[in-house]
Amino acid sequence: MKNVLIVDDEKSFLLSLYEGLSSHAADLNIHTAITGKNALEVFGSTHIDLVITDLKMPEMDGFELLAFMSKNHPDIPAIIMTAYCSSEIRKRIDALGSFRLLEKPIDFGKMVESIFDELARRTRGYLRGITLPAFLQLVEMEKKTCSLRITSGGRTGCLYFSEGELMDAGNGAETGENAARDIVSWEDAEIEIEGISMEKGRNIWTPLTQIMLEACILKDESERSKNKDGTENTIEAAMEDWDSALTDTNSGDPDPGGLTSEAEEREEEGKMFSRKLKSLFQAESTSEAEKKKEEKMTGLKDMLTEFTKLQGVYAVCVVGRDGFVIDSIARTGIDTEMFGAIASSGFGAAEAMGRQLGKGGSSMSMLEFENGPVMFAPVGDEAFIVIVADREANLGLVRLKLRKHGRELATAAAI
Amino acid sequence: MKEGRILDIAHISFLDMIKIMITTSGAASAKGALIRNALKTAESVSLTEYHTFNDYLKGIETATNPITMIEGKSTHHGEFVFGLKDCPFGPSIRNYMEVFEKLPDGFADFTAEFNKPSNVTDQYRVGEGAGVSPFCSVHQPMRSAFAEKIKISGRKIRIYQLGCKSGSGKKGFAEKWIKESRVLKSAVDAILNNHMCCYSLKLLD
Repeated sequence: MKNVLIVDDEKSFLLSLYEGLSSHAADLNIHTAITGKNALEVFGSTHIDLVITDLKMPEMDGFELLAFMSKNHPDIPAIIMTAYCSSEIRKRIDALGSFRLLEKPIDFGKMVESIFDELARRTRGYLRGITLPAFLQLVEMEKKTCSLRITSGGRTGCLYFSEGELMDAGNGAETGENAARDIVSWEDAEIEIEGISMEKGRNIWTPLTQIMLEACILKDESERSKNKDGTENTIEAAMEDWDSALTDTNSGDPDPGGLTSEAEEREEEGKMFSRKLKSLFQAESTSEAEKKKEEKMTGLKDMLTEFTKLQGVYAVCVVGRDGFVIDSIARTGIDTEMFGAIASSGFGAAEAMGRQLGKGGSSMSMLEFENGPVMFAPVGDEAFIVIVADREANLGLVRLKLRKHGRELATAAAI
Repeated sequence: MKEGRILDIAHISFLDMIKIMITTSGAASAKGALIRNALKTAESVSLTEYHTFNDYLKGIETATNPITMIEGKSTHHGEFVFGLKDCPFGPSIRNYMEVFEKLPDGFADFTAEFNKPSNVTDQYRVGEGAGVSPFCSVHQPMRSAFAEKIKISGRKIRIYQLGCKSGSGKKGFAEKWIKESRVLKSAVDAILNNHMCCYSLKLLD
């Protein structure tokens, strides 16, 4: 018999769920709470196997409840009921496997299926409870304003959110993006949540997803340098690891049954989680064949094709600084010649502004439009690349790809 | 009656507009804009066919040749090499210099940019040292693009820009196109003694 706690401030909804689940009384013992605070009382008196919670509630909301669980019951799985969830964020949260999202109004059949599925995964032993990255995705999704106090292995840090956007971070040694990258990579994090009493200035402009990805790569780099003495510690190396990790993830079963100790289990769990996190940002599964093809690509067209494989990218042009297109791959309907001419003017203007302000040469410019961004980056001295994407695009991945292939692109685009 | 200096405001504005383009979006982008503009002009020209090369030369004399219409009469020096006595932008430059004494800032950078190897200058066989002012980036590609609309004896023609001379008398040579068109550099140099621009014409198979 499993104890399931359902937390929602709508009493009639709770009652209907309770009655609906009574047909599974042989397997499930249902407990209910109308606020997070009530839920804590249940935790105090009963061993809970699964929590199903709404996020918006008076007194103590779902975020505070999840934060409490991360600290006191980190292994209890949770199902989150939410009224709004974009497909992109749902995909990310689902892939993290930390908790499951159910969209309101609730499909009862789906809920029953989710409950038994989560309990079964828990029984198999490789599901973790509330994890920090999943929690952060939730904060972003729900556009929550709060500050999070994160504790892990004797370290403490803070993340400040305003309407779901990461504004600042501090870990005692650093602030801003560096601190954020450090904090989000912490494992077994305990989360405490509080509202922001003072207006917090913005110190972080990079999207949360990108920070999480970079944190993941940095962590890999660090592990790589620990494991392989003398190995060059570069972003390229990290990307290679990333590709390898993805390949492993795609091809293998984690098989927790083969683990021999709790320490090994946790280590394997951490690795698997890391792989999942990386895979969130990968536009498509990278097969071994594709990976080899990427390594071998030499032609400019091949390189541009790699960019168009990234999620949400639908046009890539390498343009001479004079605005004449060197090569391009674009959806039909885009006049690349005209686009190149306009882009040259825009890129030239950005560079001219940098020079006027004494900022030096540009490394990357981005224009954000209603329907997605356009990114520009220099390719050698004579050309630049323009990437047109939609709103679903993962800009972090685009940036990494640019960094990875910058030199090859410059060579291939050389006039 | 002395009228004093009268400015052609179109000339002044054009030169200043180039300066602004260089300042706001860089010499490369400004160069591209001028070249594109020149190529766009050429797109509107209709195809002209000459039975013989002599007919082509007659077209120059009668100023009915499309190239002559944009740059004035050129002189054939034999072996399909031509010299142009006056730069079509000469009046603009003189008019500007009369008032402001020197050309706008940024023109030297622009000219250097035009002379750099690039896909478009390769395609139209211009620049590569033959540019002596920003106006060359309009004139030279425009002439080459006009030439693409001309046939002699049913054969397409191609122009190679060999050299150019600035108002101050400084000569610029396009070593790449001189070599490719197999014209002696000394011949180009000699033509530029009495002309502002030198190019060769090639009949394609």
